[in-house]
Amino acid sequence: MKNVPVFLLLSAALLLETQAGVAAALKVYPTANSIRNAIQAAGAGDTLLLQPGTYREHDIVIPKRLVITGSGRAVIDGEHKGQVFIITADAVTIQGLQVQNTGISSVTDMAGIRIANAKYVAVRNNKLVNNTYGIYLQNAEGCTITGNIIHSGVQNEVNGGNGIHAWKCGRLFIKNNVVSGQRDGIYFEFVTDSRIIANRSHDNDRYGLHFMFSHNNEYFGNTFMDNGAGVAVMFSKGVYMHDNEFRHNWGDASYGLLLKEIADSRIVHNRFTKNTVGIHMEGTTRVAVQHNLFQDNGWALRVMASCSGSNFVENNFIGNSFDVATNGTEMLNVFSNNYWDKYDGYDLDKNNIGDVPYYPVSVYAVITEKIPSAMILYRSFFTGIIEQVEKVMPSVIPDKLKDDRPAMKKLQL
Amino acid sequence: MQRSMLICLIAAGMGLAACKQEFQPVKYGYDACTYCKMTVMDKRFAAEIVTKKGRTYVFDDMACLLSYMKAGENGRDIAAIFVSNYNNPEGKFLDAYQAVYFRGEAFKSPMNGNYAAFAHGSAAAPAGGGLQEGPLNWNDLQSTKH
Repeated sequence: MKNVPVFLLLSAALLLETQAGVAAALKVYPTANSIRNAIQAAGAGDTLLLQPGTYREHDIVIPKRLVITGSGRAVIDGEHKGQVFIITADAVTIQGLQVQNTGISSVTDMAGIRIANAKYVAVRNNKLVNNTYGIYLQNAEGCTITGNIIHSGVQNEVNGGNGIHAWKCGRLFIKNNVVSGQRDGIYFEFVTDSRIIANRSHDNDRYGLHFMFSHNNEYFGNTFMDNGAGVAVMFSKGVYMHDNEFRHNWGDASYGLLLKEIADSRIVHNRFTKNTVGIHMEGTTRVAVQHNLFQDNGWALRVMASCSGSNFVENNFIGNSFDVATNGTEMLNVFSNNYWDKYDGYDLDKNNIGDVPYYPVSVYAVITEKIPSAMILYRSFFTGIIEQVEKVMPSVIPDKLKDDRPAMKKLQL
Repeated sequence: MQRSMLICLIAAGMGLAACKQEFQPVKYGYDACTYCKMTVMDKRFAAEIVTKKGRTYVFDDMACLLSYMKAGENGRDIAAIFVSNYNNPEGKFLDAYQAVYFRGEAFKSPMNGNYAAFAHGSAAAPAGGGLQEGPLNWNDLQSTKH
């Protein structure tokens, strides 16, 4: 029995100890500068519960490790005066908020949520409305951007910003976001070792996804549709793109996927439907294009003569106006075992591989590549004659660009 | 018959439009850069080459224009080069041979060339910190790496 007071003392001490260590949860109500004051009052590790209402604050700096949660409908309105949140500490979490109306400036990139020089920040399930830039990451590492809805209805081409913009970052994880109405949906510049998964990027002014100088990234399960110019992946190495959907990116300078100066990358199991150009490739080296579907595009592929070692194997080409176009006669890429719906060869040995090669560049694709305005005569009687003559006596089409083993049946992908 | 007439008219129209050796306004959000194929959107960094035949080539970044020229395309046919005024992107384009350039990462131009053009050197002051090089003139641009 002598032990009892000692035990009590011990447990009381323990309780005190844990009390001091446990993070506090502070409720914040919408009054003037209430978020800024709460951040100042809070200690590292605390949670701020933002109560429903509209908070009219901007340029709120978060310099310590906090969790900021919108319980219900908390709206933070920048009133077009500046940026809204600027996160400068590691391991901050922002979730369940609506962030809206950043300012517009040609000097600063105005962001709804900016992460500057910080690690392991999580931005989850927020709504970002009418901001110049939605979420802006600079020098950030290991951040998670998930389940956000980002939309801008402001038409502003000069200073219009991107939905999720990352500059000089590493190991980002971007999943289940929906981005629309921005300049580029998701923009990567100097970003490495990151993953972009199951996002939906549509109706953006320029690109659904835009990669510049970003190596060793993977994106899969995303949908890119109705963007001004589709998706552009440029000046990058080690890009792995699979199971994405590129749909209805339609316009004069619009591409399902624009590849420029890409090396050692893979494009697998994607669907390209109803784009002006499915994939346009320039200056690519060792890019594998395999198991993709190209359906109802103007051009399924445009492979410029500057591409080499890029192999097109086991893809389905169905209902495209032109299967392949190119601007040269040399071909340093391989086409093999693809299914082409325009192939009219035969298969006498019944091995499901056509016995004569398929030449996917039609003569008219060659002509329009040189004289774009010749398109006005497409499907006229005159071009029908040229196609037939070319079939008998090939002279215009690049004879090195051919599929020696065309599949007789549509491939199961 | 009517259709062929129409085609003739369109062709004639295109022919006329192409003859003048003058600056054609850039259609932002629609025109693609001749070199990098990106859609031109940022009015602060656009540039344009006009050839002697009156054809225009649009660029989204000075670095693209310089790379394009370095590749030797249209080398002798260039009649004029225009570049957007960083301080007045909505206004008149500058003569690229007369403009003054600054270069710095802070400009964040579309293709990372990070050149901004100004009417005169003192105009660059508001762009503030992060200026790495400048003022540069047209000849300096030819020798810089981009």
